[in-house]
Amino acid sequence: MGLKQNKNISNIFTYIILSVASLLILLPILWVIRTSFASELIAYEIPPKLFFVPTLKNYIELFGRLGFGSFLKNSLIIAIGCTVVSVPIAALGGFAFTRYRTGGTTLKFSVLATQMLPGIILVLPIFVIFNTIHFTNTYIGIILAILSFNLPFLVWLLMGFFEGIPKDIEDAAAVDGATPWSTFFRIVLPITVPGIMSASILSFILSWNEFLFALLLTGNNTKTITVSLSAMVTHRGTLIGILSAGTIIAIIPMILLSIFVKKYLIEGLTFGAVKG
Amino acid sequence: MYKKILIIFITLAVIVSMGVAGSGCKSAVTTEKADTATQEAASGAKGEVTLRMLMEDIPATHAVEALLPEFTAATGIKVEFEIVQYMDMHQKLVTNFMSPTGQYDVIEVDNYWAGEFPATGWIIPLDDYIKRDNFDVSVYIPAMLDMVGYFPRTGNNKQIYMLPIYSYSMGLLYREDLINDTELQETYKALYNEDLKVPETLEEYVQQCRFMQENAGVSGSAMQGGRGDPIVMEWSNYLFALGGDYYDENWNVTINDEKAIKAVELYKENIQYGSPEGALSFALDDALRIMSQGKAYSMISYIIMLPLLTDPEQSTVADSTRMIPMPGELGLAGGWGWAIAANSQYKDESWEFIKWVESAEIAKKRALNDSTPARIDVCEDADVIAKYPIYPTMLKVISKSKPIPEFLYSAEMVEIVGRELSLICSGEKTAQEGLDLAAKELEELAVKAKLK
Amino acid sequence: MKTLAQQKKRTGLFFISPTVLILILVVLVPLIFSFVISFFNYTLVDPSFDRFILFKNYSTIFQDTYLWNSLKITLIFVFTVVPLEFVLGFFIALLLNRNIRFKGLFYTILTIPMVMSPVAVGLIWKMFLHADLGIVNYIFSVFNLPSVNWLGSNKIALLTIILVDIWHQISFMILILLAGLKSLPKEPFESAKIDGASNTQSFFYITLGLMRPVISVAILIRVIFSFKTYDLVYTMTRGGPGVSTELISYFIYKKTFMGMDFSQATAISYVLFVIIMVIVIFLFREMSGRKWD
Repeated sequence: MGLKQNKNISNIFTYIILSVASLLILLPILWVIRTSFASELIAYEIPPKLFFVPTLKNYIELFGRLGFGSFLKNSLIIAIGCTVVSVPIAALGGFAFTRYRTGGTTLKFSVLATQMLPGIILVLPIFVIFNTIHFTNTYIGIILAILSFNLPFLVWLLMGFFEGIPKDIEDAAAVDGATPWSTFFRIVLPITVPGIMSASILSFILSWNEFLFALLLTGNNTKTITVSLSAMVTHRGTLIGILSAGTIIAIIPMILLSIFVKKYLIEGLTFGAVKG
Repeated sequence: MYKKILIIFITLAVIVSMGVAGSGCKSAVTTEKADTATQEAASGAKGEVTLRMLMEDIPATHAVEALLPEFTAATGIKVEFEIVQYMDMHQKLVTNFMSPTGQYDVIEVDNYWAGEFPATGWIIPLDDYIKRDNFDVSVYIPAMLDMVGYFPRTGNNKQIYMLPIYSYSMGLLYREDLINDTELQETYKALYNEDLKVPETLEEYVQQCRFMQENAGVSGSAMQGGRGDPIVMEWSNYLFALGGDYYDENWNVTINDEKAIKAVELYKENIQYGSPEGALSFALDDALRIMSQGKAYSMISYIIMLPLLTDPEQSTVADSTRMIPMPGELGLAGGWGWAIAANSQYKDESWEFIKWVESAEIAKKRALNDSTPARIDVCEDADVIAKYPIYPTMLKVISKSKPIPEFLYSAEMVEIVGRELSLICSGEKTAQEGLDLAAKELEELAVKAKLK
Repeated sequence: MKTLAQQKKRTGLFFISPTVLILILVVLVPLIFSFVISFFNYTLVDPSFDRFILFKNYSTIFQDTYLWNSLKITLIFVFTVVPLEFVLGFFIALLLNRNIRFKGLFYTILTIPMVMSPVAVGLIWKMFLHADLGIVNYIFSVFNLPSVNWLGSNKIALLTIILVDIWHQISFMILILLAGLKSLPKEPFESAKIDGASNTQSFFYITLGLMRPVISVAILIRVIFSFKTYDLVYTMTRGGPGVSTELISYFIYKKTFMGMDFSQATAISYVLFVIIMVIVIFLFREMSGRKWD
C-alpha cells in the first residue's frame, strides 16, 4: 500500500466524519429555517409536509410588531462593546499571569473563582447597585456586568495560548533591549493571532447569548435578542414560527463573524513565525 | 503594600454593601402615607410623565396597546410597555422591588403572586383612589375580584390591591364529533353500560379518556403533566372537581386527605392510560399542539384556549371543539390584575391609567379585540357577544371555578406540589408518600407566612 | 537602575490591573454581600439583617434530600458532558486541521450551535423532541425504530439534556482546540519526522504535549460552565420528570425566586463554589503539572 493511497483513504475517512458531524448540526438548523417560514399548524403537523406554501408572516411580525430590529442592534452594540474592551484587557492580564507570574497562583484562581457562583447570586446585588446609580437600562451597565464574567474566562483562555509560546524569542528581544511593552505588542501578539481570534469570538458569543443579566439589567432601550426570544413563550402557547425566525436572524451576524475570522483560525495564518 | 490596600478595600466593600442592601431593600417597603405626601409635594406640573409597564405578549396586551394613543391624548401621560415572558416577569418584578426606585409603575399581577405582592408591600392598596374617584367595583365578576382584587381574601382587613384584567380559568375542552360518533357510542355502551355523553363527574371523564385512547385512535386527554406550573394547574382541577383543596379556611393543610389522594390516583391513571406519550414533560404549548392537530379527544385547559382551538387558521378541529366547566364541583380559576408598584414615583398617574383602562368604554373596546373581559357588564354586552359568541361559555367556566390559595408563598407551594406530583406520576413515590411530604412542607409554609 | 525582575513585576502589575479593577468593582461587592447574607436569614420578602443565624442555613440545606439529588445529578452531568465534548471536539478539530478541501464550510457549520442562545436551543429542541409531534420521533418511525419519550421519562430525560448540551456546546471545544492546533510551531513535528517518528507517536508525544496548556484551559472553562448549566433545564424540563434533571443551578434559581429564600440560595451556592474550586484545582494540578507558587 503506497503512501499516497494511505493518505487518500484517511482523507476520505475525514470527509465522511466531518460530513456526518456537519449534517447532525445542519439538519436541525435547516428544520428551524423551515419552521420560520411555516404557520403554526404546519409547524407541528406530523407527518411533516415537505412542500408547503411558505409565509413571511413570522419575519414580518418579528421585525414589525415585535421590533426585533432594535433588539438586534442592542445585542450587536453590547457584544461588540464587550469584546473590544475585554479582549485587550484580558490579553494583558493573561500575559501577566503567564510570564510575570503576577500574584502567583492565588490571584489567578481568585480571578477564576469569581465565576464559580451561579449568576443569580451576583445579579441581585448588582441590580440593586446599578439601579441606585442609574446604570440599569444603559449600555454601559450591561457591558460592565457582562465584562465581569467575560474577563476571567478570556484571561485564562489567553493564558493557555501564551503558555504555548517558547520563551526564547522574548528573551532574545529583551537582550536586544526591547521593553516588556514592545515585546508584548510586536512579538507575542502577532504569534498568538489564533488565540486572540478565538478569544474574541468567545467573548462575542458570551455577550450575544447572555440571558439572565440581560433580563434583569436591561429595559426597553437596551433589550437584547435573548430576552426577546424568551418572550415568545406566552400564555397562548409558544410562538414557534416567530421564535425560529428570530433564532435564524440571530445566527447570521455570528456566521459572518466566523467567516471573517476563519482565515486566521483555519489556515493558521499568523503574523510571524517562530524561526530557528 | 498592595496587599494592605486590598484588605482595606475589601473591608470598605463589606461595610458599603451592607449599608446599600439594608437601606435599599427596606425602603422599598415604605408606608403609603409617606409616599403620597412626597408625591403631592413633587407633582406640581404633570409635565412629561411616562408610565412604564411590564406586560406579557398576548392579544390582551395588544388590545390595550392599540388604544394607548387615546389615553395619551386624554391625559397627556405617555405609556411604555415592556414585554417579557411569564416566568421571566416574576423574576424581573421581584428583582425590581428590591430597589428603592422601581422601573415599573403599573404592573400586571398573576393570581399566583396575588398573595405575595400585597403581603410584602410591593404593591399598594387602591381603596383610597377607588373611594376618591367613585370607581364602581361591583361590575366585576365577584370571583375575579376575590382572586385578583382583595387581599386577604377573607376577614375584616381586606383591601383592594388590584383591578382584574382578564381571567384564564380552566375547564374541559372536548371534541363533540367524537362524542357524537355512533360507532364509538355503541362500543362505549357495550363496555360500560353507560351512554357516551358530555361527562359530569371526574371519574366519568377519566373513564372516557381511557376509552378514547383505546378505541378512537386519539389520545384521551392532552395533559400538561410537566413539572411545576403545568402539572399543578391541571391537577388542581382534578382536586377541586372532587371538592378538595390545599388548605382549609383556617390554613390547616388538606393536601393529603382522601379527596386529594383520589385526585392524584385519577390523575395518574389518566397519565398512564389516557394521555399522549410525553405528557409528563408537557407544558401548555406541547399539550395545546396535540389538541390543535386533532390528536386528542379532550384537554383540561384555559378558557383562552377556546378562541385558538376554534380558529380554523390555528386548529384542525375548529368546528368540533367545545368547552364546558370542569366536570365535578369546580375547576381552577386563574387571572391577572392591574396593580401599582409601591416603589413607583408616579402613583397618581398610574391610577389614572388603571381607571381609564378599566372604564366601561375602554373595557368594551378591548373585549372587542380579543381580550377576555372580567367585567360582567362587558361580558353581557350584545356587541361583544355578537363578535365573540364564545364569551358566554367562558363566563360559565369562570363562575364555576376557584383559585389556589393565595398567600405569601403561593409560588413555592406550587413548586412543592408540582415536584411531588411529578415524582408520583413517574412512579418514584406512592400518592400517600408524595402528598404527605407536600403536606408537611405546606404546613411549614403556612407557619412561615404567619397564617397559623 | 531597575533590575529586569523588578521591571517585570511592575509591568505585570500594570498589565493585570484593569482586569482586577473591573472585577473588584463589579463582582467583589456582590460576592461579599452574598457571602455575608448566607449567615443571616435574609429572604426577598423580608430583606433585613436582623436575624443572624450563623451556620443554620448551611445545616438546613444539608438536610434537604433534594439538594443531594441535585448535586448528584449535576456531577453526573458535568462528568459526562465535558469528557464527551472534549473527545469528540478534539477529534473533529484534528480532522479540520488536516489539508482537505471545504474546511471553511465545515468549520462554519460546526461552529453554529454555539452561537445560538441557550434559551432558543432549548425551545427548539423541545419542539424537535416532542414525543408525539416532534420530528425526531417521526424520523425514528420512518426507520421502524420505536419512538422515545425524550423528555417525559425520568430515566431518559437527563440523557436527553446531555445530548442537547453536547450538540450545543461541542463547537466551543472545536473552536478553542483548533485555534490551539493552529498555534503549534512546526519545528518539533519536522524534527520528529526526520528522526523517524510515526504519525501516531508524534501525535501523542508532541501534539498532546504542546497542547497541554490549551487543553487544560478548555476543559477547566468547560467544567465551570457546565456546573452553571440552567437554561436547558429551565426551558425543557423544569427539573422533571420527578427530580431527574434538577441541575444545581436550577435548584438555586428556584430557591431564590420561588422560595424567596435568598440566604439559603447563597449558602447552597457557596457549598457549590467549594466543590467546583476543589475540582478545578485538582484538574489544574493534574493537567498542567504545576505546583502552587
